[in-house]
Amino acid sequence: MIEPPNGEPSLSLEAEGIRKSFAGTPALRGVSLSVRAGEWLGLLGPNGAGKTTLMRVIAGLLPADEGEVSLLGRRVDAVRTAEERDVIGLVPQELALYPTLTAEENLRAFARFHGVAGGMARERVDWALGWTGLAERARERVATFSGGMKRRLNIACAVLHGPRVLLLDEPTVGVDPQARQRIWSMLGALREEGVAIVHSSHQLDEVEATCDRVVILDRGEPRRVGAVADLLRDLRGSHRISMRFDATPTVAFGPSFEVDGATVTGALEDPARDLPELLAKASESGLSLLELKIEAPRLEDLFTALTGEGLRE
Amino acid sequence: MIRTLLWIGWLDLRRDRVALALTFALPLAFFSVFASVFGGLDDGGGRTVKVAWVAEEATDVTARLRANMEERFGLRIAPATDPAQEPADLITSGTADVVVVVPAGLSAALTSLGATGAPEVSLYANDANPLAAPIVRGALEAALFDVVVDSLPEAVADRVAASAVRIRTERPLGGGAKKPSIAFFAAGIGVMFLLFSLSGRSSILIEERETGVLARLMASRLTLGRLLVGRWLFLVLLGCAQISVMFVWAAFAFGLDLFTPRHLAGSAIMTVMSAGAAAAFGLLLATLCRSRAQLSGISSVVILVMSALGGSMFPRFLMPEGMQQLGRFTFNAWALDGYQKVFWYEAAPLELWRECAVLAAATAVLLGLALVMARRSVRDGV
Repeated sequence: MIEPPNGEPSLSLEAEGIRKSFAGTPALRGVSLSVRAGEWLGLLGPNGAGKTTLMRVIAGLLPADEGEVSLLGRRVDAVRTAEERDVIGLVPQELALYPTLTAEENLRAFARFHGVAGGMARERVDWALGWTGLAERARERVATFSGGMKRRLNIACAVLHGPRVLLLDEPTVGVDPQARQRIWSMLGALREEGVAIVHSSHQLDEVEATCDRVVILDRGEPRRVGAVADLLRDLRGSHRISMRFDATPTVAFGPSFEVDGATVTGALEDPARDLPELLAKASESGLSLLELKIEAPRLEDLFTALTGEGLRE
Repeated sequence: MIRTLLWIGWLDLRRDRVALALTFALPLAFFSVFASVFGGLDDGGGRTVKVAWVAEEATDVTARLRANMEERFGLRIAPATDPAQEPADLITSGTADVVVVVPAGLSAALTSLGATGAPEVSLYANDANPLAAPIVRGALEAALFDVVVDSLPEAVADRVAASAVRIRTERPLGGGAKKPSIAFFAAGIGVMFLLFSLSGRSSILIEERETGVLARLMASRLTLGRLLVGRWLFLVLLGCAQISVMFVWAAFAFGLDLFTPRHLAGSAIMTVMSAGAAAAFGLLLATLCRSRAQLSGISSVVILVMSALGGSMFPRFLMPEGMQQLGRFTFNAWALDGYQKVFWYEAAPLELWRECAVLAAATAVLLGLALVMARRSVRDGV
């Protein structure tokens, strides 16, 4: 395992100006990102945005046409040493497991492929079985597991060797809420240990709840990078307001509001500032407020605003 | 890491009972059918000719004639149950391949050395079995000669027997093999199923690609070259086990002369070389195909064509010259030539160098191509 250079906090992963084309079609057009130790970075984008290609370049599976990747502060080439490979743990979107092998056998196999053998391998396999909650099913074939169990094992197989950077490609596809919670708690524990996580997902609510920062990719280009809260703050006028009165309003609330019977809906940039004024206007016109709903801006709104609503495939 | 790949391959095979049966039991069943059908050729093949005997006279001479044909040529001769039945009916009903009609007066003619004239023996043959008539005719002529000689005074008979031209068959290329056709079918069917089973098992590369395991492996310390070598090694071991089981079965069930030092050494060398080439071939196909269905379809066509041309289904020496030459582009042909040298010509291991060199070269080229294709596949993100 290569060690980070002296000085904290370190960048666990840095990608600078990554470009990649397939048969002349650009998939990545100069993407840059960085992740610190213990940071959880969300990678968002519609299908075909270049998320998986970026992951593959970072993991060393694909050589970039241009740009650099650095791991723990050191630049790495496309052809990597065993130590450089050990920095990364890759969790593919597919269930990258051998279904005819048991959970324990899968873990042992992938540990060995990362150079973890002997007593250390046994220790790490036992740890992984406990971590995933699969200790009691350790000797059962993976083919008999539920989707959630397979997903947990899929992640565990990528962290046996103690990677400092974890690349997750849609790690919770097709699992129930309980299994998803378990996975988040597993990944949260890794973050606590200083593992940098890059998490590609279409589940925007999850990314919003878990990630420190997000990168929104579209057509191979980063459209927005930053902390979720900052990005949402930038998404002006995105608080959705819904007010239901005792009668149909006759007063005008503004161009961004629509009236449908006794219900008025619209968007406010800053509800704390603007809502009292609206309510006062309603009260002055003799309306009594029966119900008020305020929906905070969501990542989905930002995502749609940046990438559009049209289908990409 | 290669050990881990072997371990995974073994567990995967052991737990897939259908694959296990297809790998070992199906070739044995297939071979057993062929060996049972064609194994009799090693004993002269006469037993496969059914002869109906229609005698218009029943004498000691005709009985000796028939017995001579049965004993010397292994023919199955049955007297027609209904002498009035037409020979054509005996043939069309499947009772006989050849009908021999012995005319009245034959005994007298033979024992009188032609003094009573020479009656004609009639043979009725079925064109559907073109070998039957010449075999029966040859046997009948030899038996007639023996009966005539037996009828001569002893002194004359001895002189005739002494002056008779003898034909001796020599086998300059060894020729001591027992059950050569069993050896041919064991090798031929063995190599064909070797190709089928190893290309089938090579699909693990496609599964690994489809399930993302390949991406995970390539992100580990395992390199693509090591992965291919590990997979190749497993397939070679599997192929060796498959062919060995086939030969041992052929030895115990059909009397193949396997357990001599020369045969064991020669067959072991050819088995390793054949399995190596077949494994490399399977891996190349797997790296060329995008799906298991594609691999299954393409490998079936290619293997059947190679097996037909290469002599796995039909001996190459019975093929037209052009086809024989074409067959040399398949490694079935080289593998079978090697086994033929071992079991038919008693060749020493060193005499197998040409076949081994060709198979080793094929292995190297096919593995190299498989590596190139696999790299391209990973690079293109397929």
